[in-house]
This record gives sequence, C-alpha cells and structure tokens, in this order.
Amino acid sequence: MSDGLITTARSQREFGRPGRLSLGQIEVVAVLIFAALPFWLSNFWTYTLSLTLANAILILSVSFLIRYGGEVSIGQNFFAAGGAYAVAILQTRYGIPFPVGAMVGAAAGVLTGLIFSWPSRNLSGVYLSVATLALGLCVPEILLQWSSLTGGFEGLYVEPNLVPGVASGVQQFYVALAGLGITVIALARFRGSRFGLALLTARYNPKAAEAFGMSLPHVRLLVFAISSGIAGFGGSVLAFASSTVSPNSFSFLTSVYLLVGAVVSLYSTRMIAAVVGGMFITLVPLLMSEYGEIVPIIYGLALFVVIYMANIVVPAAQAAIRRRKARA
Amino acid sequence: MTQAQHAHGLTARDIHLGFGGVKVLKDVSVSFKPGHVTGLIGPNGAGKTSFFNCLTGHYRNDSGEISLDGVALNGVAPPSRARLGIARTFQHVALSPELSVVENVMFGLHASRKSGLMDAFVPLPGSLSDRDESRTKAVGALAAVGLEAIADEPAHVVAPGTLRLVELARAMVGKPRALLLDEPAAGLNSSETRELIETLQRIAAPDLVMVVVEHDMELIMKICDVIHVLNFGALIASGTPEEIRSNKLVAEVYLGAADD
Repeated sequence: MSDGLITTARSQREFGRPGRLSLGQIEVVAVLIFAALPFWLSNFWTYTLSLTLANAILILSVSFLIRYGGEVSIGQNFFAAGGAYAVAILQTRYGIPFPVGAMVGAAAGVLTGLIFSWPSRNLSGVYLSVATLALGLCVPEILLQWSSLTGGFEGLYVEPNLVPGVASGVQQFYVALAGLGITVIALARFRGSRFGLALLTARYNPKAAEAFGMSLPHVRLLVFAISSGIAGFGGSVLAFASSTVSPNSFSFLTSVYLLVGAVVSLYSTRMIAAVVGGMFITLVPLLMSEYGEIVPIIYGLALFVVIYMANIVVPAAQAAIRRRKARA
Repeated sequence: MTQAQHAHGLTARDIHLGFGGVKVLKDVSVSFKPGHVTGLIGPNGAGKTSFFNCLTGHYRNDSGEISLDGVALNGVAPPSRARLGIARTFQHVALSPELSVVENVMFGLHASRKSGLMDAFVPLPGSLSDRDESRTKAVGALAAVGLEAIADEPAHVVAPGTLRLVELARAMVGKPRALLLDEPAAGLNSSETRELIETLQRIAAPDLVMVVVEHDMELIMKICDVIHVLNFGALIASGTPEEIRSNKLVAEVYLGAADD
C-alpha cells in the first residue's frame, strides 16, 4: 500500500552511510535541543513530551511492519499492553526495576508476535489486518479477566523510581528519549544487516528473496517478531512515562491512532519522523480537547493532507525539478 | 563417459510438468556442463521458463530428477538451492527499489553470510567486518559489469536496462556454481545487448554452469557453446550454434520466419 510513498521517504535511506551525513547531523542537533527542553518547560509539558516520545516508539512498530513487511496491523495495542503490564506487574508485585521490566516487555512482544504470526503466516493484506484487529479487540477483555493481576479497570501505578532523588517527570522524559533513541539506532543498524536487505527485497519481490536464500515464512515471522518486539518495548516505556497502565490506554482505538501516526510520519524509521507522528497523536487530541467532537474531523483532514502531499504534490514537484534540470 | 563425469554440473532427467490437464514439459532431459554457456530457446509457450523454474525450484516437476554435481534437488526449496550454489536472474527485473544498487547486490550474498539476528541490531565486531567484506565483494561484482560508479545510487532512479546488469551482479556476487539467466536481454536496446554479450563472455568460467533462456538470437548464437530447443514442452534439438542454425526442424518451428 505504501509504494507511492517510496520516493518521498527517500531521505530515510541515507542514515548510517558514510559521506551523506547532513540530515543525520540536523537530527543530532534537533535531538540535543529536544533533550534540553525539560529545563524550560513546565512539568505538564515535560510529561506530555514524555508520552509523545513513548508513542513515537509504538509508531515505529507500525511503520516497521508497513515498510519492511508491506502489512498493516491494527492490533499493536495487544503487544504494547503486554510490554506495559510486564513493567507494571514486575514492579508492583516483585519490585523488579524498570530496565529489566522493559527487556521482559520487549521479549514478551517478540514471543507473542511469533505466536500470532505462525498461524497467520499465509495471510496477507486485508485478511491479515482483520486478524490483527481480532487481536486488538480482545485486549481489554483479557486485562479485565485477570483483574487480580492487572488491577482491573483501574489498572496499576508505575513508580518512576529509576534514579533516586531525581524528579519523576525528568526521569520519565529521559527514559522515553533514551528508549526512542535506542529503537531508532537499532532499526538503522538493522536496515543495513543481511536481514534488512532480505526483508526489503522480499517486500517487493518475494521470489527474488527466495532465490537468494531467504524463505518466505521466515520473512513473515521475522517482520512480526521485530514489529511486536518494538511494540512491547514501546509499551514498557509508555508505562514508565505515564506512571500508569490501564485497559483504557490499550484499547483497539490505540492501534488506530498508531496507524494514523505511522501514516503522518510517512512510515519513516527516522527519529524526527517518529517524533512528528508521536506529536500528532499525542498533542492534537490534547490541544483540541475543548472542541471535543471535531478531533476526529481534524485527524481525517490532516491524514488526507499528508497522503495527498506525499503521493501527488511532492512527486509532481520532484518531476518538475527533474524536467527543469534536464532542460538546463 | 564415466559415472563421475556424468554427475558433474547441473542435470535434468525425464522432467515432466503439467498444470491441470496441460502438459507443459514432456520428458525433457538436458545436461548443463561446467564451462559451457548453454542456451535454451523455443517459441513462446514452448516451456522454456517453466523448465527454468523447475531448475530453480520455483516450480516442482511432477516427475523426473534434477541434480547439481550429483546432489539430487527434487523437493529442495529455492532458498536451499541458493545455498547449494544456484543463482538466477528474473525475466522481469526483481530488485528492491528501496535499496541502493550495491545493497541490492549485497543481498546476493545472503545465503553465504553468517551474521545472525543479534548482529543485525547490535554492532558486534564480527558483524562490522561482515558488512564491510560484503560491500567490498558487491562493489567488485558491480565493477565486473561496469557499474561500480553507481554503487550508491538508489535502485529506483536507475534505468531499467542498467538494472538488468545489477541483477546479473547480484546473481554473480556469491560465486555460484550454476548461473541461470532468464531473458537477460529483454527490454535492452541493441547497444545495451552488445554490452551484455561482452559481459557474459567475460563472466563465463571453466567451473561455472551458465544457462541462458533468451529470445534474442544474436545473443544466443554469440555466447552459447550448446543450444537446446524446446517446442510444445519437448526437446526437439540440441547442438552447437552452427548445428542448430542448420537444423531443418528448428528452422521450421522457430527460426524460419526470422531467417527470411
């Protein structure tokens, strides 16, 4: 579904390659400025940006699946909830610190992703999306079913106690920023790995991937394992960044918003793009909250603008520039 | 011919293939020898590509046996055939538009690279040298087809004729035992085809089995040591380019119109 967006996301290719660092350098500066924000912003805005960064990780899980697998999932809330509740339960019941909880959360994402993708490995397109929808819809029911463990409707409180003596808001912000940074760097490295090359070949030419040694069931399992692993990790970070986990924050609608964020970020796996996507799904509802009813309309309009720009306006402009260059 | 010689190279024996009631391949037996460039020709629908796909494992022949250096390939899926040393190109260019030219070629090394999943995310020392080595090999393969200058261009901005050579580099980079080319000249203009002929002649090596399916007679006649002609799924002639050129039956079913 994203073929038309390839040219517009061209910038994302250059990360990690020698000699073409300009965009990477801009990004480093942007991250540094971003990292200094808690010194200026109020607690409320620091908290909101923490949520933005955590959501950006979750958006990356969707973007990765679309970009490397060509598939759309609307069940990412399932894997995110797994990661978030792993952190919360391990901390509240067993006193296990966040970093361990986050690793367990990511591992839980990988595992559940594999368990889901094995039976659905022969599904694709709309059929696969509907299967992920089923996954997404069952999350609140599962959480309420095991309320003795999950805290039921009210959920669980996650104490931001990683570094004693540091204000919790500051901890939340930097944990979220570090989590996003780790995810982006890991994904940039993955792209240049032999599996990254294999997935990006299989996405366009499955037969070619097979002909050079990558089996297609492995492609499917790998794409889902990584995507759901990122979602699990993102859920863990979100639990820490928001101090709370509850069924409401991981409903099926969460997955829809993540898909919106992925579209807004043009399925890019770059940091800036993911943060823009995260802002879109975190800040727009917040800033628009007093208008309540029209938020979905704003979302719809913004999506339309993004898709229209990316697929029609930008390619047309690029073609015009090429023509002018050819004439000159 | 001794048994050992017989097992050498890529051989297909008594291959049958049918789709529903349609017999696509009937009792085809061909032996592709190392050091030879072997052409597969025939009119449209003769079964060339089907036969080709049986060799690569993308189709499963109903009966008959395919083997590489004596190792039976029946039931072996394409990824495993790749590990055994079979590489191919496609009739329609099958590269990734999202990768650069050199990255596309690096994927040709996938089956032989050892780096694992952990290395994919974390910069372990072994994986760094693996990436560097792969890139060096891929640039070398691009140099062999004269394209090292565009190594870092994104594949989606490269002209289709050039992409065919990139595909060729991807197939060669892993130093395959058998190189199968499916219509390498399709869509090329005459000067590109001449370049391709020169490139293929350079690539041919004493221990390489090279199989070419092609419509372009100039290319086939120039580069092939042996030519096999298929018609309606059956092998109707085999021989050197001269023999095929002077074969009456072949001229009737295939070359007749072209020679007028």
